[in-house]
Amino acid sequence: MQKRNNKLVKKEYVRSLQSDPHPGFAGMRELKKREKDLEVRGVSEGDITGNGMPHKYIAVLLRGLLIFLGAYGTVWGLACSFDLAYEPVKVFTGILILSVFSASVYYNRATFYTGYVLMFLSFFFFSVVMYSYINSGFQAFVNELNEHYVDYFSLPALRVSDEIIADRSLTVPIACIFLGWVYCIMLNVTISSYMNPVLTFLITFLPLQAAFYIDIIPPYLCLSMLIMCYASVLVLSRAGNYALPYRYKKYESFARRRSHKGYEDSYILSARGMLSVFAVSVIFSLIFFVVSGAIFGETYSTRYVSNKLKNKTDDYVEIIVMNGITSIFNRYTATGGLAHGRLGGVGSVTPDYKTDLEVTYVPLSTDVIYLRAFVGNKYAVDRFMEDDSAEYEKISEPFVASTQPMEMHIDNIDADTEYFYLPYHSVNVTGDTAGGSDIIYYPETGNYTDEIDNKGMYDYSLYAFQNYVSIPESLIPVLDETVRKADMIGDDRTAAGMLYSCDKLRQYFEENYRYSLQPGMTPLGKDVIGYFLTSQDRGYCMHYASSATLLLRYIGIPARYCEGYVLKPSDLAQGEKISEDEDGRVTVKVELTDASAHAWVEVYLAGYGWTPYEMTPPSFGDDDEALPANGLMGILSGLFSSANRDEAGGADESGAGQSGVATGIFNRITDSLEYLIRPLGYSVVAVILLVLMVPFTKYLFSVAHTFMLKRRGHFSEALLVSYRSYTRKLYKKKLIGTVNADTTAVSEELAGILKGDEEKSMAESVALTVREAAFSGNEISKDEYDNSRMYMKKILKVITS
Amino acid sequence: MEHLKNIYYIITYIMMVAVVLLISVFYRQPLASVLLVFLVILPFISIAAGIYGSKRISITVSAPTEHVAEGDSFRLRIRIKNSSAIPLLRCTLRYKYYNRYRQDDKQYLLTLAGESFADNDLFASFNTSIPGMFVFESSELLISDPLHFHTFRKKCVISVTVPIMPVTVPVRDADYEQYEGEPFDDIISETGELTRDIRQLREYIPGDRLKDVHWKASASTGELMVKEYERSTSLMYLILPEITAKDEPEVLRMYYSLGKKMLADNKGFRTALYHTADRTFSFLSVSDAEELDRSMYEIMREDSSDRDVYGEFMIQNPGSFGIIRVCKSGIINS
Repeated sequence: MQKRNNKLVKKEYVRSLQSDPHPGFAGMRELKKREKDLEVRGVSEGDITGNGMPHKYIAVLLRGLLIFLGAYGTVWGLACSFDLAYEPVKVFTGILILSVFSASVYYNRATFYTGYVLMFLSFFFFSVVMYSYINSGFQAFVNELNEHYVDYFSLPALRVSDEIIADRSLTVPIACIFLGWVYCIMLNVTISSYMNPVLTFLITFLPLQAAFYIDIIPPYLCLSMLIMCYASVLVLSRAGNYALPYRYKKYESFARRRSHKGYEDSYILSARGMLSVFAVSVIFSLIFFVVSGAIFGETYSTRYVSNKLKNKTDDYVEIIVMNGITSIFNRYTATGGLAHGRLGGVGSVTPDYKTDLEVTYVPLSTDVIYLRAFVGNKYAVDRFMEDDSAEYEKISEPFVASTQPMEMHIDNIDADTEYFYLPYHSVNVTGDTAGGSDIIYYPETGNYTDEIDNKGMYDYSLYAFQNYVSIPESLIPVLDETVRKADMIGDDRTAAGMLYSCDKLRQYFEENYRYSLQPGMTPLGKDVIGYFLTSQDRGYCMHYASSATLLLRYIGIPARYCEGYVLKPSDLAQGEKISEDEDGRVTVKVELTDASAHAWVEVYLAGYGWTPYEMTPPSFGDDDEALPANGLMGILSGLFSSANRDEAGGADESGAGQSGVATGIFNRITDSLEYLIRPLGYSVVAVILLVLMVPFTKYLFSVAHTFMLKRRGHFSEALLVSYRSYTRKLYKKKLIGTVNADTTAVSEELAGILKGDEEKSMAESVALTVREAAFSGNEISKDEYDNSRMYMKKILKVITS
Repeated sequence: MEHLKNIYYIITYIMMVAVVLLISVFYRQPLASVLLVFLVILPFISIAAGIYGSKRISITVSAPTEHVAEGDSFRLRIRIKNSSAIPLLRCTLRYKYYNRYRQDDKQYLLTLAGESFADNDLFASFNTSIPGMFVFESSELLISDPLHFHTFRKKCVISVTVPIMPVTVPVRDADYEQYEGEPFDDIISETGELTRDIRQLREYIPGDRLKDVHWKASASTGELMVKEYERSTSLMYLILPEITAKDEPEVLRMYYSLGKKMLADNKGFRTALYHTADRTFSFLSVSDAEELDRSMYEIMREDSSDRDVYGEFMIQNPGSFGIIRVCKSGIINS
């Protein structure tokens, strides 16, 4: 009697759920737990409902407002701090629209999926179309920032960035809107999704440190906006009633978490509460505005107190101001500027001008002296491997001594301690690499017209011609084309013939490439030398020396890539006179900074041995004295390298730097697209794959889940998972009214559709087994599970056919 | 748990203060110091707001007015009222609910938003599967200040009961014997069961049943008149429901069904109600559906017992006959 009544009650209960206006509120698992409660406790708790989500559009708009406060506050603060005229109305309106749009993406599921795609597509389109304007606006900001910092630190040099479009009334507002858009995207995550006050604070407040650092206070109103945003986010994050509407159904008011102790229901969204929190934060920020502005007013800068902590950081900031932000990563430090044959990964070179070596010697001529440290032989993609063959020794290399031996003393102050720094034709070295070293060497004369030969040199020549002419096969087309363009093949393999080739190559470099310490990084996956020869058209010593090494090898001249320091005549002028002997020969001490670090090619001249050859074209002082401040863009130049090249070329040719724009936006877009197309293509394919993977992943998860359940003997649970999929399929075929229909409803619906008695009994059997699995609390048997699965498949097959 | 959450919030807040402190030490600018002062004062303002707000927050729970039968779902209305201006005070109600016959210690938490100057209603739905007295109890309300530095505990004793009536089950159609034995004290004073014969009309006295009002006489006299019935001392059925542990639903269903059937047959009866706590009996007179429901409430308020209720009755009322026992074995007339 009791069992019968219990069944009756359960049936009523299931019916009551079915008649619930919000089916699907609770999943099958939840229903099962409730059923267990009913069985054991006689009562179970259903859903907690409120008024649903009233005024969720207010919640969304309020989020938009908070994002706007953060984004506009930061952009405004930065622009005003560095005196950039940014057209407040346009920027204000633009960022406001973008903020509200970003936040409204979370209104419901439809807006979420379409909104995000739309947002990123439009952002991408805007970035590409407005690239020149954004870039110029950014450069304008960098210039202003630089100017303020130069003033602050009283630095002599002014580093100027290339503003391709000089009209700041166009570029600055567009760059501000772009920056605002980036902020909208970021804040949409930190505020809308996570309501995280710490991240919001860090993202928006840290950039303003650029102004605070040099005692510039952004407008108080802008700071008040930020305070308003922080206060609201802080309180809302604590209260917790800021749920994203799209994650819940409109009638849901509470989120339930079930633990072993019981339920915990939380009210998920309170638009009214959010509004009142915002109102309080407005009052709070107004108080801040009044207190900070009224008390301290304009006197803030005079109240600045110098302190040791800040003064210490000033040294580093000064270097950044002088050499750009990438100097943090690329600055020559204790390594002495040697790259050990590495060619890739450096977008710009920024020496610190501190002494690395002290060289004491007797200068016999004003010739350049190369102090060789690293010698590279084999080349692999982005580096020369050090020549460490058994037959190779720097000192014992055969050469023709045409002068008297001389002495040189080198003190290693801050250079790489791995190497001795040896002039060519060194015959003896004593001391250690980390301290001082005494060297005996034969100075070069530079006279290569007379061929001199001997047995030792002949043997070494054979070795050199066998071992120092290898090139990677992948670069042959590039090298071949360059050799053809440079017209550098000499008539014979004599020293004169080799020098002819070197001269032609150097001439080719001078005519077609230019010296730059900021050539930009090589795009990922591209060969450094290949990219330099075909696309980059500018570089520093490393590029020229490495390219020349392979080009000379390609035409059969043994060549090696060398790194070390170069002692120039100009260094002598800065040198200190140590002594003077009877013959009037003066001993001088010269300090070499890391700016003297150098890379060059050495060629094996038949009859003379390894001889350094300067392939790097002169810089004409441009890069050394007024370095382009393309710090951030330097990082990005790998991606936008084509555009950079065009801009640089345009600037050189026209002087005003406007020729790039005059040729049309379309060309610029296509240039940008050339390098963006691959990452963009990959991204699109990845997104499509992800979208396609979702149902497949769900299916895989379902299969894996069922498999695990069966393996553990949980056939009831496994059947419920299968049944869930079964009802979904029926729902998709519009055979049942709701996807969460219970067994009674499904069997009743199917009874009207299925014609055969056998199928009807199958449907009934499935319903009975599922009910038993869900509500009895006992595990069903494997046979019951298998039979039900089979029946479900058969029923679906019959219905489909 | 709430305090653990607070620790997390306090740590993140301290980190924020530390950043501003660092900025203020680094720059030595008054603006950063103002911000720092604000951040230092803010926790105190928040706690003060929490104290103020917690005194002005109240929660009420209302039971449904309609009849709830076993298998039915019903909803309790929970109203949170924040009469302060402090926005979004996070309130957590600790509660438990149970059927008196299946009592346990499961605790539940309900987190609500105390919106300023607002009454918010929400509905907690419950499903039932057995009859009995449903109880919703809460003991305390946890209220956190806006920045969650401290959680205040407020006493919030709420107890709401909802009688879950049994469904009717088929009852054996039998000619039950009437009770014979010592008359009960309260029955003597009442002079027996009500009959359908009207003894007199009299003026209405508060406490009289509305169904006894003689509307026609009232209209003619201009005063509310009620009918007073003759009582019979000879006719009396006595039903003894024996609510033993684990069998409560069945006994309740049988008692309820038997009661309905007897009332349908125009047979009034008395119910002997066993008080588990002091092991005494009291007697309820049932002559209509309303009194039957009331007797159900009284029965369900009592705990079930492991004792021999019939034995106890016989000890206290020796020599009694014709008692209609409703127990797990069924309905027995002895």
